Amino acid sequence: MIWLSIAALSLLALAPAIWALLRRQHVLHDERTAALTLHEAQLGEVERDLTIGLIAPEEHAVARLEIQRRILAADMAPTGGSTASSTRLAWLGLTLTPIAATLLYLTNGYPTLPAQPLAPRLAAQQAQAGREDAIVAQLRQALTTLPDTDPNRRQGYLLLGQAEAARDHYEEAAQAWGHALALGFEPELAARTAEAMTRASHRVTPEALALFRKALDTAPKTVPWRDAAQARIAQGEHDQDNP
Amino acid sequence: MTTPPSPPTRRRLLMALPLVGVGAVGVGFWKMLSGMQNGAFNPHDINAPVLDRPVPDCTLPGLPPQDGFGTAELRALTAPVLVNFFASWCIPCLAEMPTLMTLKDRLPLWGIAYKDKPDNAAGFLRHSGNPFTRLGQDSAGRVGIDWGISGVPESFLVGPGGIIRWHSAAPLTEDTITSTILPLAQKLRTP
Repeated sequence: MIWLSIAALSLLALAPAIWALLRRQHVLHDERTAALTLHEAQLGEVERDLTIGLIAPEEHAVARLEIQRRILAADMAPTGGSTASSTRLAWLGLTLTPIAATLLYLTNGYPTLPAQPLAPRLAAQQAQAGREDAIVAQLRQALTTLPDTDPNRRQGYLLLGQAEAARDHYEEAAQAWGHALALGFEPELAARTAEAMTRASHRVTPEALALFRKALDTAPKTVPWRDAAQARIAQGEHDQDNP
Repeated sequence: MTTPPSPPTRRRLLMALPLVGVGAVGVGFWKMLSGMQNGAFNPHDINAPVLDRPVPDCTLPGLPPQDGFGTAELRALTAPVLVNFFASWCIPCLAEMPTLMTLKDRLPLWGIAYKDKPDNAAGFLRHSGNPFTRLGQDSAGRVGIDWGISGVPESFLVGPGGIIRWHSAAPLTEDTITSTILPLAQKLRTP
């Protein structure tokens, strides 16, 4: 179906050129025929001028002689064989253009590839998201039933936060990691939580700023995320002073 | 006695005009580029009226535990000092800090925390390291206005007697330090 529309579009694009070529066949023009036609008409005019008495017979004779001389000269001009060949060449070019385009496409295209409509893909994404939602909800449910003393609880919240952050649900990620932080502080986790808070609210909130500062204060000097956290602190301070 | 130019001459002149214009522009660009090559021209330079003049009058309270400083201390200098305006809320200053940490053993650095809360500035230096031997606070930003800064970070090389000898409105790079600041400081130490 798409090939049909592509063919129609190609035809539409080439239409002006085709039209010009078709018209050109009706008015064949080369130098010789044009000159001869002109001089024939001039001869006719001179004859008419003589009959209505506009010029004297001597002038008529001179003019006729001059025109006849020009006719002889014009007859030497090249004939119109070139026109026909150039027309043929143009038709050839017009035919070859779509063929060449198709070949160019075939060098790098996949005509056998099936259609990729958006709706089924979106539906598949939705289904996948739904499955993930179910799994995450299951995890969340399991965590609420665990007793506070269970050592797996913190690990579970870390996992939940990771799963939510991977799906760009930063608010839920920040909440889950907040629970994990409450069960045991760790500088990198604090920085992650603060970053999730920042991304959830699109600015460095005062809580996130405090958390970033706490993370940097307790982290060793060489942690790789130090510069990023400092940049967030700078951003937060700047936003605080210039709300 | 001058005769007006004949039309062909005038036409030739008019024809030559665009060529001459392009040539002039080309020469201008060439001068700029060669100036950028040898350091005579810096497109990022900002005019600093304080250059080669004594430091403006100012008194900066210190940021405990470090002492502040003022015009008196700067005028009493016998060796060059690099005065650096910075702020904890400025991301280029964060990026500049490691460079300043490598410079602090080769040249004394005096810092001015520009429009910064003391706690924030202290936290910033605690996290990034503190390269400054003296540290003043310019909470209101008035001193920055007197010195004519256009933003942070901005650095001034103050020579003996408190004369401002060099200024940069861009974050310092290792390149600037080795090619410009240190040679100049060396020259100022040996009058």
